[in-house]
Amino acid sequence: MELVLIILLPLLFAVLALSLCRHGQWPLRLLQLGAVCHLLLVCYVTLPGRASNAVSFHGIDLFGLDQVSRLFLTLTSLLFACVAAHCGRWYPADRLLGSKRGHGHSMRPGLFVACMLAFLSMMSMVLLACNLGVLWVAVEATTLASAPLIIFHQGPRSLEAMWKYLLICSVGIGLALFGTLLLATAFTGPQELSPGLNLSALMAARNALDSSWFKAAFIFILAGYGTKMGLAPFHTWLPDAHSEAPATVSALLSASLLNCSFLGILRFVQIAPPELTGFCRTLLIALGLCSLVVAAFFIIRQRDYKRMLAFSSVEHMGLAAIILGLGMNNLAYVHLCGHSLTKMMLFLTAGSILLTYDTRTVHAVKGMFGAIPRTATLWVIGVLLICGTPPSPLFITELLLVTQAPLWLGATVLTLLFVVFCGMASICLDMVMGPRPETPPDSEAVKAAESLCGIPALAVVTVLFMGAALIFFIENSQWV
Amino acid sequence: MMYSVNHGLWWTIFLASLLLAPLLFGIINKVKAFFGGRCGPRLLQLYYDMFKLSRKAGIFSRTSSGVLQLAPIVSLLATVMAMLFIPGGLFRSPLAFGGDVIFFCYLLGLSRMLTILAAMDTGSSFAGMGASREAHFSVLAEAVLFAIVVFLAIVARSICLSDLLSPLSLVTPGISVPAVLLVAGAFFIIILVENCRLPFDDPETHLELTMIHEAMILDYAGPELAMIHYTASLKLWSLCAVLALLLLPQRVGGALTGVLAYLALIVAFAVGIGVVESIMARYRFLKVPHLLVGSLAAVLTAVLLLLFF
Amino acid sequence: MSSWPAIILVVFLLSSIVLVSSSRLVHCIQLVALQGVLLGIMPLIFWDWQSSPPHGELVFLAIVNIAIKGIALPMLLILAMRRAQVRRELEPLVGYALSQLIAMLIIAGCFAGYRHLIGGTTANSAMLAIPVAASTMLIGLFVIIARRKAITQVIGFLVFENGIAVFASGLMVHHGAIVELGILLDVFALVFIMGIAVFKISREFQHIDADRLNTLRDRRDHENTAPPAGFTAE
Repeated sequence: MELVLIILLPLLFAVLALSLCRHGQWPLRLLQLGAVCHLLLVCYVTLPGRASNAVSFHGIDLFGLDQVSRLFLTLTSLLFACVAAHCGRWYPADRLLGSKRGHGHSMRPGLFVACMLAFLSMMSMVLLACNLGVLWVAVEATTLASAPLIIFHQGPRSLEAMWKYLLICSVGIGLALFGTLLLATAFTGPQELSPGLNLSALMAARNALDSSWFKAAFIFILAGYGTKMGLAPFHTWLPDAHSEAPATVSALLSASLLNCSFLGILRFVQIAPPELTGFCRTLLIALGLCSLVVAAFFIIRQRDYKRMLAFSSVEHMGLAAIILGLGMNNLAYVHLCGHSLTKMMLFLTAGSILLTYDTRTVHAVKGMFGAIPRTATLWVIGVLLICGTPPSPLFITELLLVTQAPLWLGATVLTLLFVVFCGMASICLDMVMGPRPETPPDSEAVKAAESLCGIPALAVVTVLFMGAALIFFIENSQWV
Repeated sequence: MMYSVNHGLWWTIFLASLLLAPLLFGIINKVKAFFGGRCGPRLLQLYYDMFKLSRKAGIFSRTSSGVLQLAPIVSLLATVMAMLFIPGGLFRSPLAFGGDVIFFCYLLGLSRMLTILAAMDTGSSFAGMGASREAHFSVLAEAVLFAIVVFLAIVARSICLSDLLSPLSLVTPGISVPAVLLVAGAFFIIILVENCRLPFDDPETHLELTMIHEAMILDYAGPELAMIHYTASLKLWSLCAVLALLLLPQRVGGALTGVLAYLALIVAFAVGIGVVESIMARYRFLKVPHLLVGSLAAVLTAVLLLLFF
Repeated sequence: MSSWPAIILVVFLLSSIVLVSSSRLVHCIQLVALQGVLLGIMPLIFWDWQSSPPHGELVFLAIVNIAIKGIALPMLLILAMRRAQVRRELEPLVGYALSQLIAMLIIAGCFAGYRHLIGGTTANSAMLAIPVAASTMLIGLFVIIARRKAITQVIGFLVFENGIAVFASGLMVHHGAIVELGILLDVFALVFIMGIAVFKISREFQHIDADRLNTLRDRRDHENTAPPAGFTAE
């Protein structure tokens, strides 16, 4: 029952925000309260040694909890709580500066909070789903809940980004639905034993799945959830949506939503018949490599620092797909966790930079160390961490990936990672170094940006701690 | 059951259809009059008109060549010749040979070609415009017609018109019902476009800019005009007859019931055309190709259904 | 009547072909509504009536399906169309007759490909659902690509979605009422949000040509809204 509550609680708060407390500071309080309650509930549910009953309805398992969903549920809830805390200061600052600069209206607080909470609820549903149909419904619902958030700053560009996001993701997810249906017909055993779309039943019946149907299903699933995850030939919506959305929303999109779509693909890899594992892995590695190449190509000479971060997400999703394709599932989870924390922190910092300089163009941002030293420090550390500089957990996962992979793959990945590093480092240095800008950013904006450093700093500490722990852990056990 | 071979009866039906063909226009006009709440012209009006016209003298423009005079006769003969290959009711045509379906289609094509040539021969700009539209639509319609022939040929495994239209060949269980419906629908559209009926051409319009068939025959008078009217009615009759044979149910009992059902279906199509003309408006010329390509798509779907299911 | 499933599927296919060739948006929306109604009754038609009457869940789902896909969604689309003040898709990227030909090629390709897949075995009419579903999906994608207006793209998406639903009901995939309702709800909410987006786009840009939504791309200086004339991407 508490599993259903995890999904319903944020929805309840969302309704409250829409109906009762629409004005002033109330919606933001409600957002923070909702996030904290969700976090507490998730911690209670995922306590070690506690088993929650699966929720089923008319013989169909709807929600359940396994090892992977415990991990990602905790992570998502934690990230959301961080972002909610950040929103408390960011939202008023953004509104104030926006109206001062004449940017027009931003979204009303009640609607913003309601969409954020609904988004959290749908992501929890994705993570808890243990029926592939429910999983599909939930993934599509995350698109719906997050699309309005992209037009936070109402303007032609964000509208364009939202339209692309809606259309491309919906078509992609439609393909995933087709794949799911193909899988439902792949069962060759007697009709009354049919597993339907229940995950556990399918896993038990994986040997009875027809291999050609499963192959077709997996291709559609990979294209479908791959679109949502931002794997390369299908990634086109991602840079637009992530760069046009406001900082907190991009942080959630990049840090939590991509993990949810990854989970969709992971479920299908888990139920692949043994003789088809190789097929699935080859496809995953191919798409992952493609994403890596595209990301490296677009990060070099990128002119927009938020787009740079978005392409870095494409890169890391590609890496996660490659790791999954090599069969190192646990390593993929660690990689995604590291990426989520770091990327959330980076997007939040990018939001502060945007507040100060009011532009997303790299060459218009100069001398950050002079103007906003705290944010600049965080920005440098964040970029270094996301590129996999040693104390970062991403360093460990990338190292293991390169050493465990076949030579050609490892060498290619390493080269591409180096390209990405060069691109991101040069952009980052361009931004933080140099003389102070001739027209200094107004003092109010500087003050706002510098006061927004708390949560990113906390995230940096967590990531560093996680990296250190990981090194220690790897030293002590042959774990991968 | 194949068609019975009874040359005497076939010739009787053939002569009867030559006589009855102009009646179809009378029926169509009566139906339209009924829908319009009018009394309408008499059923036999076309016979009276033809009789009146045939007693007048023909007159030809001095700038025209012999094509103008030749065209009505040749196209009438071509249409009559085409009718020789249609099985009458349940009886196989005595002249049937393998491949005569193509001969049939091109005899109708020859008749149309002469009409177009004659229209251009007059040098009148309206007639030329009508000719150009007629040629444009017939190109598309011919594609549909041949797609239908392909469909029938696959069913009957023959390209002889008498075999293609044998009532047995179309009733196979299962999938063929939607396929037959598709083909019949497309063929009905072909009847409308080939005979210049309403969604494509308004036979009653008096605005030369929008006419097709009527625009082409503006320069005719007297017996030649009568011949052209008669040819048009024969063409309508023969296409309706082909569609009737396509849909004639298998379990028609004796020869008499068969023939009666055949004639009843033809009359029913005339009524159908009248209904369509009463409830529809003429399409814009730009939209006509859409409808024709759409019916081509319908026939191709039917062929696919036939081939794969 | 064993031929009813085939007749319904063929009508479904024809409606997609007609939709591709129609320029009036109202007409397109009516066709989508027709497809929705056909989809609703399809599970009942495919049901084996000789053995048992259909259970209540099936009838309930059929009614909900007709209500959402046949009535609610078309009404939403018509509302969005009125708000955005567009009636026709003028100047599509691919002309109407050519679109019809491409739709025909898609259908032929799907049938031939399906024939190739199943080999020489004879197929029954329920199996007809697979090529029909595949070609409807592809035609929907084609409409999304070949039309300019944002609202036509929504219509294309609905056709695509209908294709998937044909596949599900043709093969009698049973994924439970709750999942089915969830899918319907998702599609409904999606069209609702897309309708709002169409309205906002029309207000912001004074047009709803999706192919002119192209300011976001990776090139130099795209921060400034209008690129200089003759400027090419690096």
